[in-house]
Amino acid sequence: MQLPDPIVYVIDDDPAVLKSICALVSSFGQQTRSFTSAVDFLENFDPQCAGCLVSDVRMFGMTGIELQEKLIRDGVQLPIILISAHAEIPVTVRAMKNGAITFLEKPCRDVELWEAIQTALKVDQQNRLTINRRQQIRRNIERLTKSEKQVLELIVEGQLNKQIAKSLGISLRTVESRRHNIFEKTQADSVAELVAMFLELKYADASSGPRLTPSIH
Amino acid sequence: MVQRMQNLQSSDRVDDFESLSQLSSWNLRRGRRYFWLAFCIGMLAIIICGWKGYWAYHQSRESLLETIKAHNEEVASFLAKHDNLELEGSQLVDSPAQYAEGLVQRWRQLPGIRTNSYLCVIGSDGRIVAHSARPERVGADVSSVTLGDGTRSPTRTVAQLLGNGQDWVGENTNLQGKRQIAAYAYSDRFHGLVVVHTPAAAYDGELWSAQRPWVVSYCIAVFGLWPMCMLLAHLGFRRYHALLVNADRRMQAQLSELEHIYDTAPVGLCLVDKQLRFLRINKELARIHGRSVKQHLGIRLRSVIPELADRIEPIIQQVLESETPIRDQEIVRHDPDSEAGPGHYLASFHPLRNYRGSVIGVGAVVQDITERKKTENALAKSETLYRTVVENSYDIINLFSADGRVLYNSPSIRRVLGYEPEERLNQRGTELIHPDDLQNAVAEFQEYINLPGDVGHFTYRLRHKDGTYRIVEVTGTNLLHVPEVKAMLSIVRDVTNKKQAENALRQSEQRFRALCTHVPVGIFMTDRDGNCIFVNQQGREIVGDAEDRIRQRGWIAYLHEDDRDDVIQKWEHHISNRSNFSCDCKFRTATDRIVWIDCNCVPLFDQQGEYLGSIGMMVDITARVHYQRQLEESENRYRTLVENAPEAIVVFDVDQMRFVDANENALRLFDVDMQTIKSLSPIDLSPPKQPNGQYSRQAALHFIQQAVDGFTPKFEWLHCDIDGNPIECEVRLVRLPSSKSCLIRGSINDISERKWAEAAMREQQEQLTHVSRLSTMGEMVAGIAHEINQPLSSISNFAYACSRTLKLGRVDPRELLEWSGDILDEATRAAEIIKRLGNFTCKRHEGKITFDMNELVLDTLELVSFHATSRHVVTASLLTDEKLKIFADRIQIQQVLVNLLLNAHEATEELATDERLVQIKTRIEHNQVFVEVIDNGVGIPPGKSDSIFEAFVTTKPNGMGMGLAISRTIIQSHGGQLIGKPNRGRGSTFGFCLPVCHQQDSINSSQMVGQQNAIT
Repeated sequence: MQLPDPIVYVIDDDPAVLKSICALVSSFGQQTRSFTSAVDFLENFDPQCAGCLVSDVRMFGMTGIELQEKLIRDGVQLPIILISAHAEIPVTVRAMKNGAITFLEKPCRDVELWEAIQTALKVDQQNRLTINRRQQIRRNIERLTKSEKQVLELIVEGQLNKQIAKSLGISLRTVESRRHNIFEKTQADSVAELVAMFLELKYADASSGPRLTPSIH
Repeated sequence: MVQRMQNLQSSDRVDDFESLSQLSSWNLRRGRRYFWLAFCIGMLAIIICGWKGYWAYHQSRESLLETIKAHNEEVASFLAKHDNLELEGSQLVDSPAQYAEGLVQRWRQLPGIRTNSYLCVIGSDGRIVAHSARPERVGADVSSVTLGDGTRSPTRTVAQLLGNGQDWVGENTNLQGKRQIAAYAYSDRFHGLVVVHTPAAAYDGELWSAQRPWVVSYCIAVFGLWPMCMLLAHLGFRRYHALLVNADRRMQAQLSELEHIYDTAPVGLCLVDKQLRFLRINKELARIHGRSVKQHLGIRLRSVIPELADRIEPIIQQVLESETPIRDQEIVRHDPDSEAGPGHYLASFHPLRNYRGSVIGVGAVVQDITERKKTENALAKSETLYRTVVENSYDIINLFSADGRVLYNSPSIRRVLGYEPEERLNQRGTELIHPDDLQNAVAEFQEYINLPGDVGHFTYRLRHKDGTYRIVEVTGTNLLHVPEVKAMLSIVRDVTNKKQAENALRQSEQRFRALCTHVPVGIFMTDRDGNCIFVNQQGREIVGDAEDRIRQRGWIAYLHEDDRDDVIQKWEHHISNRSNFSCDCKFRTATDRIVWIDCNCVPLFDQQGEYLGSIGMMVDITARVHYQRQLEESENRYRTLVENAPEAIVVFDVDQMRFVDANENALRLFDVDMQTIKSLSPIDLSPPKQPNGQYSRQAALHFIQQAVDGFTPKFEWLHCDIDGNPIECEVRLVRLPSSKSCLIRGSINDISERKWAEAAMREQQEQLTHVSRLSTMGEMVAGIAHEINQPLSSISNFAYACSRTLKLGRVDPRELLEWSGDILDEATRAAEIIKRLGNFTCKRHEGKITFDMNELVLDTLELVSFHATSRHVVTASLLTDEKLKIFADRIQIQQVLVNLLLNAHEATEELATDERLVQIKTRIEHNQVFVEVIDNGVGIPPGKSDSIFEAFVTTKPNGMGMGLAISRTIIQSHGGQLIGKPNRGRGSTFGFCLPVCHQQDSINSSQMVGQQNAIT
């Protein structure tokens, strides 16, 4: 899948600092977009676009940590690098727990920042691939009919065809035909692959917010 | 009839001529109509009766004749035929004669034969054979008799009948010329004719009886009805004719009366037709026009009175058009020929109608009112004269009706009582009388009303319109019996001033009498020889004796023996020289008491300059003498007090600019003696300049002026003693209540020691505030670190970017230039932050300067901006546009501001990050600069609002409790006040006020304020 060029979003309420970070990142040949506040960023960024976020922590209005939590709530998986002039330990811990790539202290060295950005972009790429795959699986499963979904659930539970026919009160032939359809639609080669797909989807939905609840039922 | 006519005349006498004539003509017409009606009815009755009578006669005659004819014919033919048969068997028919005889016999035997009818038989030869009535006629030839009545049958002769054998019946005339009805029946027996005759005489009687009623009625009609009708018609006609004649006569009479009235009327009358030509005009109007009557008739109005045509013609035209009268038009005729002046005429115009009611012209009534006008003018003049007299009279002239109402007020009521004359009309005259006088006035009025022609004089008070009462004298004349007046005339004269003058005189007299009696000094009079002729009550009391005894004994008897000779000598000098006498002496009273007397005496002269005697006054001054002694003692006491006072006291005469008095302490302070200090002024005891740089002379005069103006200025002053050694003093000035000269008392305290103590304390205070500032810095250190880190971080980033670009060789000089510029900016920024911090924390004391509060607020906001940002506090500054110049220690004030702002930031920490708001406001009010920091945080804990300004009291977990206490000390030392109060809603407001520094006297007043504050 062809991904667009990644962009490094930089947020800092101090215009001079913002400009200096952008200058630094640009000097590595990386494309940047700068914002003077978290709100400005939230209004203007494109979630579809690959990239990472470099944000100041102490900002007027929404802080870097708050922005991070807001993005997690909204289900946006954008890797975040936080920079602060005055790194307090509780803030740092909170940021790392929330899954920040790293937490840099101002003034930071150029190499540190660049490495962090590269890591972040990789993570982002991984995330996007995973999301694409999951979306493919979800589309496949959604193509199943309701009765096929019932059979699928029982297959994942590990029941045999006979047991499935018995518990659903249908004939063995019907179960076989539905099973065939399931393999056809999900493009799975084996029962193990089918189970892996199903579980991946299920755990992904469970780990993210309610918006991504599995729609099997 | 005549009687009725007369009644009519008398009753109709007043009737309108026209209606009478109408009645007459109508009556005439009616009479004529009656006459013709009666005539016609009479004629008709005659015609009807005549015709009816004739017709009845004709009918009855015809029928009778027919009856007779039929009878005759029947008998004749019976005889001619049937008798023949009967006769055939008899023997008597041998000859016609016999036969005829038989017929006659038969005829006579026939029943119902009229006795006056007769039968004759005519033989074939035409001769009468037999005749029943007149047998002598037998043998007469009747053949030539012509038969015929001209109606029914053709005329025949007897011969023809015989020849033809025909019957005939009819009326004819016999040979004797008598009319008869005959029936000829031919008898075949003897070929003759049997004729039955009935002579007319026989039936004419019957005819008559048949037609008699008709004849009678006819006669009645002709001779009764017709004349009666004619008579009635005649009578009616006569009556109405008489009426008519009478009416005509009356009309003539009335017409002549009217003509007479018309001609002799004293007003001008005329009738003008539609073409404005005179139809009629009476003599009076002709006279007015100055022409004869004939010269008017048929002539146009314009040619008769050309000078008035333009005035009158439109009026007449208007009357003609509107058909309504126009009355009482006043017309003035300027006759150039007459010398009597213009003629005045009153003219009325009314439309003239014919009997159909349409307007045919205009009637005019013209009245010559020239004389009346003249009289009126004369009357008006006379009236104006009297009115002017009445109205300009100073007295009010009133007319009252019998029930006391005002009928007339002369306008002078306006001047005297302030009312408008109309205002009082129909009001009761008694309304204005003073209530105290009312009863008397009413009684007098009642008495006076019953005496016609009586003249009464009253005096009472009347209320002026402004509510005051005026005393008036009223002269009333009862003119109720004079028919032209029928009122009571009263002339009201304002005598208030006179009365007041009288009263004033009386009061003055009383006053002087009272004065003389009650005056607290003794007054006496002597004659020209010096003998006492009068002494008042007080004088008697002073010497404690009765007046007659005083007169008897003389003054000298009461003199104290110590003074007697001296006083007697002075008195004799006074009497002889007529000079003023004055002495203080002791009296020994009748009760043997010693009294101090101050006696003054002046000579009294009459108008010619003749000496009359002396008038003198004596005052008991015993108490005063005692008091003076007490005062001297008191003065000594107070002087001792002043001398021993702990402070130096000096008294200074402003006019002479010299000290006039000083106590011991003052002399000691300035190291001078009393004599020297009295030649010195305060400026001589001061250095040329005061410590605040002012010239001593100028400043001293300023404070002295304040004291002269009644203030009590208190100030610090640098004095020096006589050798020039400086003495720091506190001076308080008070103006002494003295009328002669302007004296000021100065209390001077040596405060050198206190000054030193104050300086030490101030230094301590400054150290403390500095420590507090450093502590505040500690609170802000995290923020400061961040704030300095920001530019450093930028610098390092830009530097990395530069070096990386250079390393990679992708050099864009413009980009590098820009970045290096940014690096420079950031370095400057970092330096500024450090400089600002250094300023805030430096220990160096600048002292007080004049600066703008708004600038300081902005600067301070910058200083704490990162503190605010890191706590997400929005800071809003609402600064007034006015210049807020104050004179203060800038760093200390900034410290207070920082303190207040940091407190406000911390107070909002409990709130959500987007709700934290701190406002800072500045304003100027009552010459004070107010700075307020308003937060919406936790507010002041209840019960702690009083203690928060105290040291070591804090509401913050980490606070020392020094911030507000130090702030308060700073503000108070600047003459201001620190304020803290909870907000009406959330949070609290902390602020302070400082006095405004005015540009012109910034140094003077603020130094003074500073000094005064230091003292207090």
